[in-house]
This record gives sequence, structure tokens and C-alpha cells, in this order.
Amino acid sequence: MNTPVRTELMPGVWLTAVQTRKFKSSCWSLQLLTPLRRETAALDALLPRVLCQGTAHCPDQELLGAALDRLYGGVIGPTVTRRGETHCVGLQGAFLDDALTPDGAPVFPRATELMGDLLLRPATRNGRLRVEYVDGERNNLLGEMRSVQNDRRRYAALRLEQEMCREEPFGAGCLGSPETAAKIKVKHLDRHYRSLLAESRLELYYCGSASPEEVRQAWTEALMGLPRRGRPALPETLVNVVPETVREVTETAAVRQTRLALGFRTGCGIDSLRYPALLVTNGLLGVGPASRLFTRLRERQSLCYSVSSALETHKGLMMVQCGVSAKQADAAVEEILRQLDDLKAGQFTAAELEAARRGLGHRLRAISDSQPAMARFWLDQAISETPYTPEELARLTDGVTAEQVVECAGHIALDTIYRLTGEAV
Amino acid sequence: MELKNFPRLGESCYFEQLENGMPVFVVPRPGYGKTFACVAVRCGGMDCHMDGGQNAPAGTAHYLEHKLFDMKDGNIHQTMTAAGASVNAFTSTDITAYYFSCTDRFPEHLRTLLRCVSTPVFTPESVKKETGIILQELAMVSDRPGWQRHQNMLQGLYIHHPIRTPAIGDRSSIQKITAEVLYDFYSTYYYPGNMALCVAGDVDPHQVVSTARMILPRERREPITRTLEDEQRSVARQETVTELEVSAPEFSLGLKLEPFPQGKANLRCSLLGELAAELVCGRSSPLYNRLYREGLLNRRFSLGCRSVPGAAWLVFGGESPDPFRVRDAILEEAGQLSLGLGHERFQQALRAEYGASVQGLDRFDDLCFNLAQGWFSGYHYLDFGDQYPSLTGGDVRDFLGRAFRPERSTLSVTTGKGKMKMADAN
Repeated sequence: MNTPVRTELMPGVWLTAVQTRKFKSSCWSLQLLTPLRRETAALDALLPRVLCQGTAHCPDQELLGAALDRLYGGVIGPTVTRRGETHCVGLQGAFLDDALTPDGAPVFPRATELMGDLLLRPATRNGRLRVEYVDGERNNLLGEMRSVQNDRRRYAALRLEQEMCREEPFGAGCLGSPETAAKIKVKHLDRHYRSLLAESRLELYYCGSASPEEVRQAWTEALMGLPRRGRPALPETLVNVVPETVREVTETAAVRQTRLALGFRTGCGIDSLRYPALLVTNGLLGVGPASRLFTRLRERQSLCYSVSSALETHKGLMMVQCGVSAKQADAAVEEILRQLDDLKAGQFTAAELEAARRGLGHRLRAISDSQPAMARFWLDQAISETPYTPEELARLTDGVTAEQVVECAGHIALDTIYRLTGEAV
Repeated sequence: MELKNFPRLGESCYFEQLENGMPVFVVPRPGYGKTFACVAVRCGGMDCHMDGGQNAPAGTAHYLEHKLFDMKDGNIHQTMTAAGASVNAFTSTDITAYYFSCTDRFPEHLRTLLRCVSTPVFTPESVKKETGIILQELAMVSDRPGWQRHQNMLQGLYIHHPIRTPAIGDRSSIQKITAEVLYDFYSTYYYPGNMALCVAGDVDPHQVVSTARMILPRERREPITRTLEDEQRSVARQETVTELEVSAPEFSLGLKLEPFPQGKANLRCSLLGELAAELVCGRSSPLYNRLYREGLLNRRFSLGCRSVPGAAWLVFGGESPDPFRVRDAILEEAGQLSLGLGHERFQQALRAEYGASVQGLDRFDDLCFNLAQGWFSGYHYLDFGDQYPSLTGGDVRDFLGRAFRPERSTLSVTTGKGKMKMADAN
């Protein structure tokens, strides 16, 4: 695996290019980085959906789809993600790598051009984004916000974040609120689009068989005409929020299983020196079948089928989720907190620590073998300005000691307990 | 070992069938740090016959999958994870698969996995303990509207086929499963001739074969034959509507196909099915784009062609304010296309399907599951590269004319009661 080459193509426009022949596919990503705010989150979420409706050359989905089909079933989709309080608004593409096209017709130049067109030369009318696309996608976005409730796990996670970060921009959620989305009109989105283009940091990514030099040239051409106002700074994320009291929120719905979501503050972001220890601590607590939560709650006590903990690494949040029967919910909460207390008190074995380090080492080392995982990893690194590779991070986590875990766990504080229970309870 | 090259795909595959009947596939991937391995067993939710003559309770294959990780010296799921592998298993209608991926100590993990699938250890206590876990898993999937909709679709499609029963079983059948049932079930289905081992990664294929030969039982038994009741061509019911707490109506439209034959034709049928579905209502089809513009479909729309022994169907699923209109539009569009399909559109769709399948080879898990599935169905999965160019517009037109008929379709809809309201975030 070649190490990525980073270059600044224009002020505030960075390219990460990885050259490799090991994949059948090639991966493209283009992300505008903007501060996550309640007022603009829905505009951010809507923009790439509207851009993906068509370009000046292929002004509707059918023509765009046909162009992608001719490129051997290439895919370009809108993406909206959050890295702490940085909203990443963009497009992600996957194409057959040039090395494997049956007729030898190259996909690479046309794919880059399409990505650039979607960002800079969208389908417009009278110089503005098309009203039918804005209205249609706004309704789809509203539908998507409503549909979160169909997935109990995602719904519980969303509600927990909203409650926990109600006074921080992070609580705006990735898609913003239905109330702000419902009010969006073409003129708002058009203005927002132009300001994002001119004022956001832009992160470009490519991984495939083309050389970094070819990639640099192709992207530079594709982004010709990108307006730039100065050199945009990276948005900041608030990490060190300490909860004063533990909040408990319970809601009801027609569910058979109670969903528990516990939110913790770790006080440690991805750019912190403690970060490798946090990864190990989280792994030891609740990642995989050798973890404390799995072995105690599921295997020893048969309380649940699924239980795990996960990190939001930029914001330094840790969330434990679990599905239990209503009558065992309190026992499950108690047991989850007991497991964390054990880590704080250093009551875990060397074998458990080793298992957590190994599991993490495997997950980190496998990143370089997956296109989507690499794209996510390098965007994380670009935003946190941490230069290490997955392998280097794995070596750091390999060396995390029991004392470091105890120290790290000591900073983890419970903030909010969210319960979604059946109506009969 | 036999080495087969697939130059179009930039792929090669080692193969050997062991003396005990087990096939071993190894796809070498130099330059990868990760290795993936799976043991697939030709046994799933549809299987309930046992050697003794009695039928197993619904959900036995899945229950067994949970308990097979138990060994005398501990739980394999945990010990392998502790040693750095990522381990899991699933039970589908016709297959149970046990798999892991690792970036280190592959030979050791492979030995453990093979030892695990060939050593049943079920105690009454450990089996009883699992009931609570599986009942929670059932509660979890039952709370997913998509799962219920899918089950309703399958029950709408089939009159007799065992796919009507969910692989997980139900509350009462799960509680009937004992250690004794698991032993009987295990001895009926779990032997090398009824399994396949598939590996992808930067590994020595000969070492994989010699490990399998060393650990697995030597005795050869021929694969068990599945006997299925004759299924009618028509569906059990054409519409099922369920009220649930969902945000918007969602639907699964199923179209009942003739069961796919064994052999290369099986692969061909499934490629043809996918291609036809794409042409009717895929991303670049006029119909999808019209329904999208009219607000009748959104991005959460998917389609596919599925098959298990004795059953095959097309499925179109998504969210829509009017699923009935979507169904009617799909059937009508297929009718039109069966009469006239432009050469250029056909070629373009074929190109897109081919490219997407080749890109799919980057996912080791799918690659290995597809290899196993292909073996059980009598074809080599990587032959898809040669099969695509042989498909013609005439094949698609015939397929469309036969498959898209109202009497062979079932529409499963979940409509919202809309009681659940998202609290205001601000």
C-alpha cells in the first residue's frame, strides 16, 4: 500500500491521493467542511441531494444515470456526515478501476469530470438551482428525518444525542431539524450553496490505480472556476464539556423491546494524546464478543442479544446501546455502569486488555483493505490534522497499558440515560 | 490443487474437493493484510428434517448457529475475538455460515474455526441459557418494520415452501429446542460433504487445504437431498397490508419466478433476473425517474433477484405514499419492455450490471458467501464474467413477459399509524 500524497490544489482545497492496484473499484470523495449549526444543518444536508439531481450536461437523473451506467455502473451519491461539530457535506463516488474495463475505455477522466460538474455546474434555471429539485429533495429529506423512527436503534441514538447535546451545536444532528428544513426555499439554498463553495475548506480524496500526479491534474481541471475567498479555516469542536448531573429521559412507543442508550463524555478527542488509550478502553468495555458488556450482560446474564459501546471520536462521546425486555432495563443499566466502574478501578485482567488491543489492532489494520473505510479514515485525519496511518495508530494502541486505561476510564462521565419503552410499561 | 484464472476479472481461484467431499476455494489476494474465511453449511431456516425421522422445531438451524461456538475449552466466539479475529455467523433460509476475518495468525484462527464446526458441545444448561438471548433477538427483529414486511411478502408469495417460516423461528418453537434436538440436527446436516470452505486473502492455498484435511472428519457422506412439496405458480395472496408505527407507508413487491435449476443455468437465471429488474425500475430507468419526480418513490428504493432451493423471486422495495400505484406502474412498464427493448438501453444496463458485480469482488465476505452459494447451486460464482456477455435482449424480453404478471405478484405494505412523534430537538 502506497502512503497517501497530500497536496493543496488551491487555497483551502486539499487532495489526498492513494495509488494502489489492489482494488477492483476506485473511490472518489469531495467534502465541503463547514461548522455544524442548528440554523444551517438542514441546508447543508439538502445541498448534496439537490446537486446529485443533475448537471448542466446531464440535467436529470435519467441522463445522469445513463452516463454512470456507461461508466460500468459507476455510482455517485450525496453524503452528509459529522465529525464532531464539523459538518461534512459532499459527494462520494465508486467506479470500476481502469485496469478492469473490458474494452480498455478509461473511466477515470470522465468520473473526475462528473464529480466536478456535480459540484460546480449543477442543473440550473435562470442561474439558480432548479426549484423542482429543491422542493422534491426537501420533501425527501423531511421523509428521511421522519423515517428514523422506523429504526429503533438509530432513533434511540438520535434522541440521546439531542438530549445530551441540547446546548451544543452537535445536538443539531446530521440532518438538522424538520422545522428548519420545511422552510427552505430555492433562494436560501442557492445562497447557501454559493457561500459554501467560496468559504469552506474542501477535502478531495481519490484511491485507485491512477498516479497522484494524474489525480492532481484531473481534479484541478474538474474544479476550474471554483470561487475561493481566502483560505478557510477548519471548524472547531467543543470537547471538554463536563456533565453536572445525570439526565434521564424516557419515551414510549409501540415496541416489544426496550432500547437503552447511555451517553458518556470522555473528555478526549481524536487529536488528544489519550486517544489511543480511549480506543482501547472503549474496546475493552463494549466492542465485540470478548468485551465486558457482551460477556457480562449477554453471555453471563442472558439480559440481551445486542449490547455494545461506540465512540464519536471528534466530539469525545461514548454511547452504549442495548436492547432488553422492559422488566430487566434497570438491571441492565446497573450492570453497564458496574462494568465501567470496574475499568476505572483497574479491575480487569491482562488477558482482557490484550484481547481489546488485538481486536482494535485488527480493525485498524484492516482499514487499508477497504475503500470506504480508507476514505473515512483519511477524512478523519484531515479534519483532526493528525498525520498517522492506520498502521501507526495500531502500533500506538498495541502499546496502551492498564494504567493508561484506568486513567482514561477515570475521565469518562455519564451524562444522559435514554430509554425507549413499550406503551404498556 | 486446481487453479482457475478469470482474466477479465483480474482474479484467480484455487479449488480442491477433499476426500470427505468438502470443497475448498481460495482466492489469492496479494497485498492485502486482511484474510477472510468462511465455512458455509448447506442448511438453514428451511431445513427441519432430522435423521431420526422427527421434525426439528422452527428456528433450530439458527439456534444451533448460536450454540456451535461453545467448546469444551470455552466459547470460540470469544476466544477468537480475544486473539484478534473478527468472528461472526448468520443463518439464512438455505445456508448457515461461520466466518472470521483477521490480519494476523490466520493458520491458528482457521484451525479454531474448523475445529468448532466439527465439534458439537451442547449442554442442557448452556442451551437453556441461550433461549433468553434468542427471544431478545426475536423481539429486536420484530420491532423492525422492514423485517415484518419482508416476512409478509414471502408468505404472500409461497403456499407451501418452508421459506414461509422465518429462520429465527417463533416464541413457542424457540422454547422447544433442547440440547438433544441440537445434537440430532447437527448430525443430520453438519458433515464436510454438506459444507464449503472459502477463503480470500494473501494466504498459501495449499496450507488451507492441508489444515482442512487434518482437522475435519475423513468420512465421506453425500449431501442430504431436500424434498420439497410442489409449489404452485400462483401466489398465496396478492396483497397484505399491516398497520405499524412507521413514518410513511413502505412496501415490498414480490414476483414469483420458476425455481432456478441447478448448475450454470442457476447463475444465468439470477444475472438475468437482476438485469431485468434494473431495466424495469433501476436507477437510470425512465420509470424510476418518473415515479421519483412524482414523489411516489425516493432514494430508499431497492430491487433484486433472490433464489433458494425450490423458490426464486424478484423484489422491489421502498417507501411510497401509494405502493399500489407503484406496483401497477412496474407491472405495466415490464409489459411494455417485453414488447420492445432498445438495443442501446439493454447494452448500457448490461455494462452497468457487469461493472457493479466486478466492484463487488472487493468485499471479501460477499465474495466468499457467493462462492459457497455457487457451489451448493452447482456453478462457479466467478464465471459471472463470462455469463454476462452471453445474455441477450431477447432473453430479457422473454423473462419480462413470463415474470411480471399480476397473478404472480404479491404486494406487502406497512402503513403508518403515525402515533410516534419525534420530540422537538430544540
